[in-house]
Amino acid sequence: MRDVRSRQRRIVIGVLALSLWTSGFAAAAEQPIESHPGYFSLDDLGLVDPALSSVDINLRGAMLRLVGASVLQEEPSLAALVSDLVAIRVLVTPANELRAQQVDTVLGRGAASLEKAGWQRVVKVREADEQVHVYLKEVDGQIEGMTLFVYEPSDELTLINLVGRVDVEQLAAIGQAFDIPTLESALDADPAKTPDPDDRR
Amino acid sequence: MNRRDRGCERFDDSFEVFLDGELDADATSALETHVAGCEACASELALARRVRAGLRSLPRLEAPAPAVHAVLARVRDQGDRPIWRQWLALPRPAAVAAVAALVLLVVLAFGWIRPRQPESRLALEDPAVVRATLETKLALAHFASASRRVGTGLGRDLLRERALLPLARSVGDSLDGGTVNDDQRAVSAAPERG
Ligand SMILES: [Zn+2]
Repeated sequence: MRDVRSRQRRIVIGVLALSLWTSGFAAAAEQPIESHPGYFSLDDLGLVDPALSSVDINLRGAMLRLVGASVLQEEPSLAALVSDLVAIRVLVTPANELRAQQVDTVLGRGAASLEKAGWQRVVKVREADEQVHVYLKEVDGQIEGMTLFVYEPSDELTLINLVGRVDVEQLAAIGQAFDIPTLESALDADPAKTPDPDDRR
Repeated sequence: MNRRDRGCERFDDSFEVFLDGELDADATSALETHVAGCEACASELALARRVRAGLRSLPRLEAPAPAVHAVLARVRDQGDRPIWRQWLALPRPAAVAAVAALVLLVVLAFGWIRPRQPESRLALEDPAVVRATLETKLALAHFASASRRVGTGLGRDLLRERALLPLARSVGDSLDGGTVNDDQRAVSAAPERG
């Protein structure tokens, strides 16, 4: 009998989790992104011309829901993490497309405006060969967004804004499993790229 | 002009509202005028339409929440009664809905409806969704790469303290050694102090 009961409990919890998961999706899709506490406009930094970026990713609400649904069967951990995100913005620009001094100034200004908007600085490294800023937006003890600037003058500038319930550790762990060159070439070969006017590479 | 520019970005959040039919008249005419002259926004709007159609064709996963709560409440209240009596004690519509929810879950869990969802599979196989999935993975890969750089800097302890420790780890169990190697663990696991 205990067996049956624990199975019943598991099933009920499963149903509940499923309904919470889908309702979370719906709630996430409704809110205008700019009003989300975890949103920070990387584009407003005015630092990066997306045309010069090697990576220009801008994913939001409804599309992230579809991504979550599409990986649900094969990659449930990824689906769970994606379901907590409301938007993903990533810009990666080769350093040789940028003027180091300008980057320095603009990142400093960006960091200041994040702090002014109530973001918590988690990491700040400003050295000749590397500049790293990591900011978190917490609301009621819950992380609602994360913004990263990573600049290596000899390599590239990476700007990231993750909006939503960001599980830093899990996102990094899952992200490690993905190979950047493989994904980039898959994206280059992707037929969906042709009708998309936003040519990313 | 093929690329979306700053003039375009102000319409970013209007597409969804427009498709909902909830954009006011002025904003609607501004959007329509812009889209008529902007190839990039026209294709963005077309994509939003396709995404919407895709979402509509996804299987309805919403379990009837009130029924689930009713079941949970009964389970809690009537702890030790035999299960069949707990079920019998449910009010009829709630019992029916709860059973329907369970059937749905079992069906989903065993993947029985998977081969019979051509429409929703079509939605998920839409090139735009495939592309977005690749982009999501690429974004996370860059996030991981940036985190790795942060992890080697002086901020690692701070990051752990502020960001990593308070977070729920429930998903962690589903990530086994197969996807995360030792090098990766060095970043995500506790750093040795010394
Ligand atoms: Zn436009």
